[in-house]
Parts: sequence; C-alpha cells; structure tokens
Amino acid sequence: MRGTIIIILVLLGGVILGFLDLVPQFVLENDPGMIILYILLFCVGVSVGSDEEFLEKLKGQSPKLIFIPIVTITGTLIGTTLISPFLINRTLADCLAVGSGFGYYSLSSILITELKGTDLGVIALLSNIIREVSVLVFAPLMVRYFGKLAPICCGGATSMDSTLPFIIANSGKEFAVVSIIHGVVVDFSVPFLVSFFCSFQ
Amino acid sequence: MVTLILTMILGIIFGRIIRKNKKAGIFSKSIFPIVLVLLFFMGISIGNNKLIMDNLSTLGWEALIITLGALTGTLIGAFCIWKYFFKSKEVTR
Repeated sequence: MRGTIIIILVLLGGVILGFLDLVPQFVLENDPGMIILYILLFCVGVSVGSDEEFLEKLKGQSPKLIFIPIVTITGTLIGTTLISPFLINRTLADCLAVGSGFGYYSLSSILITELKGTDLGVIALLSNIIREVSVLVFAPLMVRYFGKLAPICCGGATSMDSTLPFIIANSGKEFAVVSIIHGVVVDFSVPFLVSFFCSFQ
Repeated sequence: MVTLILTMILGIIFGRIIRKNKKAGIFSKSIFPIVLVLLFFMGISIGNNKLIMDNLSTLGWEALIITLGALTGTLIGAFCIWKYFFKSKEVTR
C-alpha cells in the first residue's frame, strides 16, 4: 500500500512538472528512459536468477498448478484479441501489449512508454490499475460466480502482493501458496510478452 | 525487443552466478527506486504532452475496454479449470 502511494505521488509529481513546463529542455530532448530501462531489466533478471527460494517453493506442489498461470495468460490474450476490433485506433499488437501487463502497471506502462509511445503507455497504466482494483472490489463476486481461482487469475501478476490479502479473504487461506506461485510466474512473463508485442508495427 | 530480453536473460545468468554472494540482494532492492525514476520521467512526458492531457478520458475508455476483454477471457478460463480440474480435489496444503 505504501509503495502504491509513493508510485502515485512520483508519477503525479512528474505530470505536474511536465504540465507546468518546469522541466529543462535538455532532459526532454535526451530521454534517459531507455538506458534506465535496460538497467531495470538487468536487475529484474538478477533478482530472478539469484532467487533460490522460488524453486524451493515449487517443490512438493501439485504439477497441475502450472496450469493456473497458463490459463491466466492465454485467457487474457484471447479476451484482449476478441475485444481489440472495438478499438479503432489501436492495433491488435497494441492491445495485446497492454493486456500483457497482467495488473503489473508500473513495469508494463514504462516499457510501453519507451517502446511504443506515451499514449499507449497511459492506456497500459490505466488498464492495469483497473485490473488490480477490480479484484479488490469484485473478488467476492468473482469467487461466487467463477470459482475460487477467479480472483487469483484476474489478479494476474499482483496475486503475489497487492491483491493477495483480498484473495485469501475470499478464496481461503489454503490458496495463499497457489496465489503466490501464480503471481511469480505471471510477473516473470510480463517483460517478455510486453516487449514481444511492442516489436510489431 | 531482442536486446531487452537478452539483457534480462544476461541478468538471470549473472544472478545464478552471484546467488551465493551476500550482496546479490542489492539488485532486487534497486528495482523499486529505478521504477520510480522511470515513472517520474513517464509522468513528465504525460504532463508535457498536450495531446495526451486533452484526451485522458478517451485513453481511459480504451483502457477500460481492453481490461474488460482481458478479464472476461481470464474469468472464463478460471471457471473452466476450477470446474474441471480443481474443484473436486484438494490442491493446496
């Protein structure tokens, strides 16, 4: 929660500075974002590679648990594909890049901003925030009509952190481990899928 | 795109090599501050772009439509695996 507030404040601070034209011209001209993005992805890679607990957590779990993140990813991509014709100004690849954020709004929106432009980045930011918030609000309804895995899948990459308490409250605490494993796998797929879909014109 | 993914894979390999090192955690800890820097720059480019500031509501609707599609697909998938694979048996500890 504290992290989310800091993120919103930093983003808003940037928006206000940009809106009031308080940013020196040389910063705007030499966008340092791309280099920082490479540093970020390297750090993400190192944190995944040096994480020994992840493989430990997977041991002793039912192998069919891997189906849950796969269903989340394919369900999201199919749903996004089917709805993309309604967005006249966006290509299928644009929509899929946004959908591939799986609720991980910070990473997906900065990736898309650098690779595709700020307007699609804003869509990714809003879309993935809506995804996260919808779990916080609708988790009870999701469980009632779509089963106990529904809030985990809808939570996407956030099912291991921000939406986890709401998932536990509605699906039951026996789903905590499932939810974390799901979140880690989906989280890991975000930089790959987003940059993949951004590579299409 | 390829270079981005290669950078990450390079990171994973480097992470495997240094995982016994006590200082390896510094890479995980630096993710959040770097994300903040990038979000700050993203904020600047949003605020500085008149076209985006004027069309925030349109972008919001587009975001909502994409999310609706994504969540509908996800819910149907979650319902199917719940009904056919998980409901009857205990899957968790």
